[in-house]
Amino acid sequence: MVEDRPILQLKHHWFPTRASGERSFLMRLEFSVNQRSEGNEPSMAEVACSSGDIERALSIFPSFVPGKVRRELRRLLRPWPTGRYTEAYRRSGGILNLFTPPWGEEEDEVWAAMLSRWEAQPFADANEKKAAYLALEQQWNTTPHPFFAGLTPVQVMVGGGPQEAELAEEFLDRLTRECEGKPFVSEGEALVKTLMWLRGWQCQPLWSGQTPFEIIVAERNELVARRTRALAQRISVREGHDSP
Amino acid sequence: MYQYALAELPGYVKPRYELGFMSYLLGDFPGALDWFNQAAALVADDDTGLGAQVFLNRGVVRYLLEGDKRAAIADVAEALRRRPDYPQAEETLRGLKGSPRWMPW
Repeated sequence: MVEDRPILQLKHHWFPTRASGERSFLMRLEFSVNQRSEGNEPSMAEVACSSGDIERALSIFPSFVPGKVRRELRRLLRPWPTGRYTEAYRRSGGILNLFTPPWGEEEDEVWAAMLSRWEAQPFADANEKKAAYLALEQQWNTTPHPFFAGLTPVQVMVGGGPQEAELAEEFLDRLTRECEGKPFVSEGEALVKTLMWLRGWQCQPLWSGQTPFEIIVAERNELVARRTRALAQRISVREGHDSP
Repeated sequence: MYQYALAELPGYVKPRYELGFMSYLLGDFPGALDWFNQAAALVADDDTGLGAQVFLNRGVVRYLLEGDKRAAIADVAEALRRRPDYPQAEETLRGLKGSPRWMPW
């Protein structure tokens, strides 16, 4: 007997630039590490945090997943540093940052301004100066960044979850319907048009009354909280305490 | 580069407008509003080109950031006063006045 229903649905999206299309791959990987499986089993990221074992977390993925993907997943699952989360420069930033050009330390005017204020401050001794620097790093991690579309570096680091995945799909479907096959004078024009639509879309209240931006931020905060709980569980087990 | 232009041309509208527009595209609405406010304060009353763009974009950002429809309509109307034949501003004004959930899509 022949199966008459399609078992594989291929989908394609239109992107204004090649770079944004390529970055969408990273965005989807970030979604996948936060995806809980059926039965609400912990996500890959939670497994990595609670066990400290990236390979165990990766074992959730089927064996045929290509090596390149596994390498990217390992990078995403690595423990976060104690200082500034500069790795955020190399994350996708989700749908809100999908189309903006890549940027890094050199372009980060926010960090440069924070650093120059710190350098100009008088300190009693080297210890005090170092403590202020460490506090500054944490401040950068948790402050909404204008170059991350208003997300904090922590929110960028954690990646998006299933709600953002659904929203991103909805936006990209709509963008594809609007733009595919339409003539644009240049790639720049297509990019500006896309960004203008994205910024309007992210502020559009949905049936719940929340905007996509609010949903995305709330979900990313929840994902950070889940990872923190998973990590706390590991530490409490290691130190012989009961988890709260 | 625009930051350098700004330092060289402190009284000019154009770099402030461009920085506002770039901030908007990056999703930095507070930053965009700040630049557009500075541009609006400097723009000459009879500037029908850039002046109209400044007010149209400030109106949109005010609406997206603060949901302030009244202020947004006033800004877009100002853009149209400066340049009566401005299709984007006409469309935005229609949207703002017509639909309670209008967005620039």
